[in-house]
Amino acid sequence: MLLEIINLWVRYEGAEVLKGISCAVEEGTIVTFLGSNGAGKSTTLRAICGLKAPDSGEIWFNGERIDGNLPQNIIKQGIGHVLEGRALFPYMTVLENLKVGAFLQKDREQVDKNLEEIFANFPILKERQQQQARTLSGGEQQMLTIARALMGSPKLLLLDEPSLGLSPLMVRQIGKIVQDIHQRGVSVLLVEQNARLALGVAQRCYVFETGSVVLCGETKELMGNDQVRKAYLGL
Amino acid sequence: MTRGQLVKNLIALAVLVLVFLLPVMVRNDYWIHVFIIIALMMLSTASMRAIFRTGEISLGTSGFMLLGAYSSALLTKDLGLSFWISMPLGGLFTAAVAAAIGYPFFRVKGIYFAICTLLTGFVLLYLAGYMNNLTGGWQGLVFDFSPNPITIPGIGTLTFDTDVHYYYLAVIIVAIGLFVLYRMERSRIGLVWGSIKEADNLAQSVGINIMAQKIFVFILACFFTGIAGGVYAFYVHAISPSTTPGNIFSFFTSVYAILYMVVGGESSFFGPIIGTALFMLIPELSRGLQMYRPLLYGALLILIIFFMPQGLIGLREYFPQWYRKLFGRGEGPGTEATR
Amino acid sequence: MGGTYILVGLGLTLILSIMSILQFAHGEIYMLGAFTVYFLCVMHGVNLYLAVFISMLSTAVIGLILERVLLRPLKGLFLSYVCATTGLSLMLQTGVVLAFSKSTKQLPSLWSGAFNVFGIMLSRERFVAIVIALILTLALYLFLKQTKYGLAMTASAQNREGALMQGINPNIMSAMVVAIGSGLAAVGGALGGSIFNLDPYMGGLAFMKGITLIVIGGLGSLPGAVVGGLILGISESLFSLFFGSQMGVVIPLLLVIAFLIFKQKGLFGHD
Repeated sequence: MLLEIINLWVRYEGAEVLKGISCAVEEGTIVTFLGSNGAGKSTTLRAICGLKAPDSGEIWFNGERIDGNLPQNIIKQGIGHVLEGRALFPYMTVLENLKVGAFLQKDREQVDKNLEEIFANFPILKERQQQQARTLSGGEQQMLTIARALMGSPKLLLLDEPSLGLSPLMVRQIGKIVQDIHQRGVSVLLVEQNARLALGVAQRCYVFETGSVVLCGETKELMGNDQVRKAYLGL
Repeated sequence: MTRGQLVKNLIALAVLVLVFLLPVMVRNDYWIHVFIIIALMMLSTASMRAIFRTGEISLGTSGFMLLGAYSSALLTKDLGLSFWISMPLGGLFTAAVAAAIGYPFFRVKGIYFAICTLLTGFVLLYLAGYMNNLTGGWQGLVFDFSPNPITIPGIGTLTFDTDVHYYYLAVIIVAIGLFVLYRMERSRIGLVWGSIKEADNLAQSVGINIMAQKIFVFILACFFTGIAGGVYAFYVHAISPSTTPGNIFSFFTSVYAILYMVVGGESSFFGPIIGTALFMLIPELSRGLQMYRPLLYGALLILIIFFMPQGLIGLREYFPQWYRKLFGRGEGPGTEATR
Repeated sequence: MGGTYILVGLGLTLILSIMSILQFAHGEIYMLGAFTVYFLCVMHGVNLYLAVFISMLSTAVIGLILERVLLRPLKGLFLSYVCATTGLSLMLQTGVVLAFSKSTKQLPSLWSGAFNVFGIMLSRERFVAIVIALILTLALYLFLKQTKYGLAMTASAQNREGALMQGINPNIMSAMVVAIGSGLAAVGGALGGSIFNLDPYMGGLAFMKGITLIVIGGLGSLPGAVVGGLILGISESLFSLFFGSQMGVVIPLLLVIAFLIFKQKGLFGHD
C-alpha cells in the first residue's frame, strides 16, 4: 500500500473538519475523493503533505509514517501536490516554474530528461516557456502546475480539483493527462467535484460528506449500483 | 453585582485613589513630570489602539500630537484664546486634518496605510520646521502663558504654577479621553470595529460601511492625540520639531506607541496602558545604568515578545486559577471577547 | 547618495517578500557593516577593499545568527517582529556605542580625487560606490534568476505554499534571505561610511530611506528598489536645489504619499 490514512482527525480552530477518515491508495492506481465543497477532501490532501498537522490519526507513505512531518520532508519522500487554485509563481516564466518543480532533484540529467518529456507531452508549455505564468490561460495554467509537480518525479501525485474553472474540452484533456501519468507508473490521488471526470479515470473512489467517508469501493461496483450512482455520485 | 464585577470595581477605585494621591505620596517634581508625560502618552497609545481595533496601524501619532500642540499653542499665542478654548480647538483641528487625509489614506492597503501615516508624521515635522513665520521654525515656540486658573467646586483652585497642578490637569483630561475610548470599545461600535478587523468582507455584507467606520475611529483617535499634544504644549511651555529620539514629535514616538501597545497586549483595552506605563518607567528607573539603558530596554522588549507574545496582559493566562478565584467564575482568560 | 541606500532597500524588500516582516534592525546592520570596516581598516590597518569584503561576509553571518536566534522562533504576528527587531536595534546601537564611543568617525576614501568629465567634476569615490552597488545588484539578479536556490527564493516570495509543495525548506529560505540582505546592507554601510562618515546612530536614517525607496518602487520588487532609489536620490537633489535641503527631503515624501494614494502600490509592486 503506497498511501494509507488511518482514522484521521483534523480540526480548524475548534471546528472538526475531518472526523476519523480512513482510506488507502494502492501503488499504481488512481484513487479519487468525491464530495461537495467543504466535505474535507482538500483538507485530507493538506494533511497528507504536511500543510496541516492532524490532531490525531496516522498517515503512512511507502511504509513510513509521515503525519506531523514538515512539508519539505514529506515532499522529499516522493509526493507531488497540485494545489487547489494552482499556486503557480505568477511572475516567473513557464520554464522557471518547471525548474522550481525540480528543486529536490539532484540528478541534472534526470531533470533534463523530465523536462524533455514534459515538453513532449505538453507542447503548449514548450511553446510558451518564456512567458510569465500569469499570462497563460486557465487550462494552460493547470497543465503547467501538473507538469511542475511531475518535474519532481513523484511516486504519488495529489491533484486538487484540476477541472475547476475549465471548459469541458479542457476537462477531457485533464482526464487524458491523468491517465497518461498513471500509465507512466505514477499513482494518483484525485480530488474532484466533477464526478464524471473522476470516475472516468479512477479505479477506486471515496465519497466524502461533512468530514467523513460515507462510501468507498471499486469504481466499477459503485457505478453498477443504480441507487448508489444516483444518490451519492449524482450520475 | 457579581463577585467579578465587585472586585473589578474595587480595583478601579483603588487605582483612581492611587492616581489622585500620587503627587502627595511622591513629592518629587521630576517624577511628577514623568507621570504627566506617561499619562499623555497613555492617551495617545490608547487612541492608536482604537485605530488598530479596526485592523489598521497608524504610525502618525507623533505628527498628530505635533498638530495639536502647535495649533493650541498658536491659538493662544496669536489669537489670545484661553487654554480652555484653544486646547479643544487644537484637538478639533487635528481631527479635521485626520478627516481630510482619512479618506484617501484608507483606500490604500494595510501596510501602505501605515507607511503613509509614518510619512505624514515626518512631513508634519518638517513643515513645522520650515514655516518659520508661523511656527518659529526649527527653534520652535517658547511661551510663558499657562492655562487660566480653574476652580473645581469643593476641591480647590488650580493655578498652574506648580507641576502638581499640571499633573491633575493631565490626569483628568486623560481619564476623560480613556473613558470615552473605553465606552466606545465596549459598545456596539467597538464590536463593529472588531468585526472589521476580523473579516471585513463579512462585515461589509452585513451592511457595515467599513470606510466610514475607519474614518470615524481615525478622527476620534486623532482628536484625542491632538488633545494630548495640546496639554503637552501648555505643560512644557516650549515645543520644537526635532528628529532625535528624545523629542516627543519625532517619529520614534509613533514607533514607541506601537511597542507599548504590543508589549502591553493589544488584545485588551488596558494592555497599551500598562505597556506605556511600564516601558516609560523603565528608562527612568534604570538611570543608574547610564549608557547601558537602551541595552536593557531592547533586551526587555525581546524577552517579553518571546515569552509573552500576547503582551503583559497575557500574564493572566498564566494564572487562570488565581484569576478565577479573584474574579469569580464567568470571567478570566478565554471567556472575554478579546478581538 | 542613492546607491548605498539602494543596497539597504534591496535587503529590506527581499526580507519583506520572503518572510513578510519588516526588519527594523536592518539599518543597524548597515551601521554594523560600516563599523566592522572601521574596526578592520582604521584600527587594524587592513586594506579598505578587503575590509569591506570581509565585513560583507561577517555581517551576512550575523544575519544568519539573527534569523536563527531571533526571527525564526518568533512564529507570530507582524507586530511581534517589529518589537523584537526594534529591541535588537537598540541593543546593537548600545553595543557599538560601548565599543566605539558615540563620536563620529571617518573611513578612508575609496578612491580620492575626481574625474574631470566634460568640465564637470565627478567624485571618484562616488563613482566607485555606484559601480560596486551595480555589481552587487547584478550579482543578486543573476543569483535569483540562474541558480536553484535563487529561483527557489523568488518562488517563495511569489507563492509560499506553492514553493513548499516543491520541497523548498522555508527555514533555509529565511536564513539565506536575511544573510544576503545583511551582507548587502553591510556593503552599503561601508560605502556610506567612506563617502560621508559613520556614527552609531546612522542606521535610523538608512532604514527610513530604505523604506521610502522600496515603497516608491513597490514592496517586494527588486527592480523597484533600484528605480526607487534612483528616483529618491534624484528628486531629493532636485528639490534641495530649489527649496533648500530640508524641503528637499520633505517634498519627495509628499509625492510618495500622493503617489500611493493614486496608485495604491509602488511602481512595480505586485505583492
